[in-house]
Amino acid sequence: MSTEHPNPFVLFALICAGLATVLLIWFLIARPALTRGTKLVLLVAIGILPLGTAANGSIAGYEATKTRTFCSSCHVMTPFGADSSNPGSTSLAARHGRNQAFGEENCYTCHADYGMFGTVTTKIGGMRHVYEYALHFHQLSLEEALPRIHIRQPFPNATCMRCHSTEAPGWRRVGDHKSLIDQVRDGSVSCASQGCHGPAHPFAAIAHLKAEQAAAGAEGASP
Amino acid sequence: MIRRLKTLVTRPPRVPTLLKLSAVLTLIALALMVWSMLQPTPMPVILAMSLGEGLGILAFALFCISVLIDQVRKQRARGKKMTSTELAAGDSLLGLAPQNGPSGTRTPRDDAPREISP
Repeated sequence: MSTEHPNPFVLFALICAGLATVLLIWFLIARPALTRGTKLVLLVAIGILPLGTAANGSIAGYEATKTRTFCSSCHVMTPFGADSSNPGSTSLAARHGRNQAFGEENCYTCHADYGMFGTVTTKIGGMRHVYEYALHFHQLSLEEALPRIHIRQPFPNATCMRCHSTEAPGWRRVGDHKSLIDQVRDGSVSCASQGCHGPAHPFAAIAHLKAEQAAAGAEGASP
Repeated sequence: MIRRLKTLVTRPPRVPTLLKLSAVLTLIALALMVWSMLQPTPMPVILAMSLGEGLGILAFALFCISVLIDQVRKQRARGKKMTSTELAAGDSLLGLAPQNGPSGTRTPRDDAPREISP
């Protein structure tokens, strides 16, 4: 038996949309006289019910944009989603994806900007992804796209420090943490760098490396 | 194009046409929003949150405009009626109307000489 409940926002939005559709189709087919009653019905069908649909639909849409399924719905993001949801993977992304606090929203939890306007800047960044995908990556195969996909700005340690505060005695007991505590806090040494906790998506790093080697090989071969 | 725009301003479309257009636009907006909820992938969600909501706002604006136009037309028609009734009432006060009293008979006051201020 499924324990999954329907999203109440989606349910409410669909009910509002259904009622509005019924009233509008009645208006278009029956063509009633424009009395005060008809105006009231139209106010409900054109104003109030669609407002309910838009408000609840926006919340549902916003929530949907935070899920891993949404992020990996573009073909170039499929391996990232598959790796982070793979229970056998040991990548940083997968290990965080298995944590219940991240769960289905693990892409958003790590890649969302922090701070007061973090949500807004994250969504603006998301629109940039859409633009890049539509204009540059849509036609590329996965093999062609993977070496070209890169994070726009270095991954901020502040994101890691939301949970790993760098204050816990267990964290401080680790020798590397102890020696690099200032650099970790000011962001000059990345937690996700090679040699520390490694790249979060190792297969992408391997693809980058292969592409660089191929480019270097091509340069070396040219007279 | 400019002539068309001028015609649109001087002779706005009929209220039922505007309302029909508004209803159709609302249906399109609702369809986009429902699509985004049933298939929450980037394209439907973006379309619903931009085009869908934009069409919804446009449809509601059209509805408000058409109700306003209807209201103004009705008030004008009522105003014309009122003016003709007031004119008739004014005529009766000045003694120009054929029947003065409620019963249609002339009262002694009607026959009294009118005072004219110097």
